[in-house]
Amino acid sequence: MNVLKLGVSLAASALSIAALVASAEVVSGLEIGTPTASIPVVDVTGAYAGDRICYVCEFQDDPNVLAFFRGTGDDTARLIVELNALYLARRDQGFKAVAMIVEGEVSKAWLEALNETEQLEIPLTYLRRGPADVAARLYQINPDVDNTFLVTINRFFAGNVSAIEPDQFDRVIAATDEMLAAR
Amino acid sequence: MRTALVMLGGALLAGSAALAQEGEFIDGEFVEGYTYVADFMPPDQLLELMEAGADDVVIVDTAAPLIWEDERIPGAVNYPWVHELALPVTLPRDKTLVLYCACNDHEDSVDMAKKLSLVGYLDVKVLEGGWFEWLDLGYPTEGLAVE
Repeated sequence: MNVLKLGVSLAASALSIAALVASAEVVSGLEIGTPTASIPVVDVTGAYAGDRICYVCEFQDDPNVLAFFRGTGDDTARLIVELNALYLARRDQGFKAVAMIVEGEVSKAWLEALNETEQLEIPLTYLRRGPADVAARLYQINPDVDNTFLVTINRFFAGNVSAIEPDQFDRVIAATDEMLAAR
Repeated sequence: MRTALVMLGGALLAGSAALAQEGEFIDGEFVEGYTYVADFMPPDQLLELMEAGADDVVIVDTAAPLIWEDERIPGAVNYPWVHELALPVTLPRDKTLVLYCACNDHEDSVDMAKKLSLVGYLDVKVLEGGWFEWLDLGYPTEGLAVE
């Protein structure tokens, strides 16, 4: 009987561990601890508007969030506005952020309009070749996921939050604050 | 008073130790006061060398392998930017290395050029304007995206 109880207990523990591992799995983007490689994007509203630019190189060791969005839309707009607010609240700590639309040049007019409406300070960009762009493959952006927030510092990934709804942006804030507190 | 003197002495020792640390280890030897200054090569000069078939020049793309495979300067070898160089470095020491990156201010290529200089590479240049300038000039490229 005791052996049976022990067996059930071990099985339950194994299931709990499996559930924990599954919840910690990255659904999009590179794993924590991976170095950040340079990726060119097309700048729409930033300091290099109209040009190709690598914001990973631009940010260098500064703490930042590289935010990938599969496409445009209301949820993307809300999350970009939230990201901009996070930037404004943390920029005195050297924090930076960039939004990158994976679907490519078709998002250009939408980004310009969003920037006009919201007066954003973070650069809005897109991947030049759309979903087929090598940057999406290099950063292992899951094409089935709406958004991927990669929290980075010293050119290493320190946090990964992906596939969130706009009302879950506090997870990006928490990951950013954890990174800022740990440096 | 004695405590203050001890603290002053400690501060002076710490200060002199900090001063003595200025410099870099170059190829294993400490060189005091060393400051790396990037040596830039204009893109038209590199193109001329390529067209002349110069075999004493090696073009080095510091992008990640996937980016290099996608599109690069013809003939460029891939030596991705890293935090720390893995030794021994496999690039030739008897040729001119021309490094480039897709950064707006040569951040990755200058950083790698500095790191290579610290392990004894004496003839390392950085492509002025980098990958973006090369594309803007309409100069040739090769790779999967071009084929």
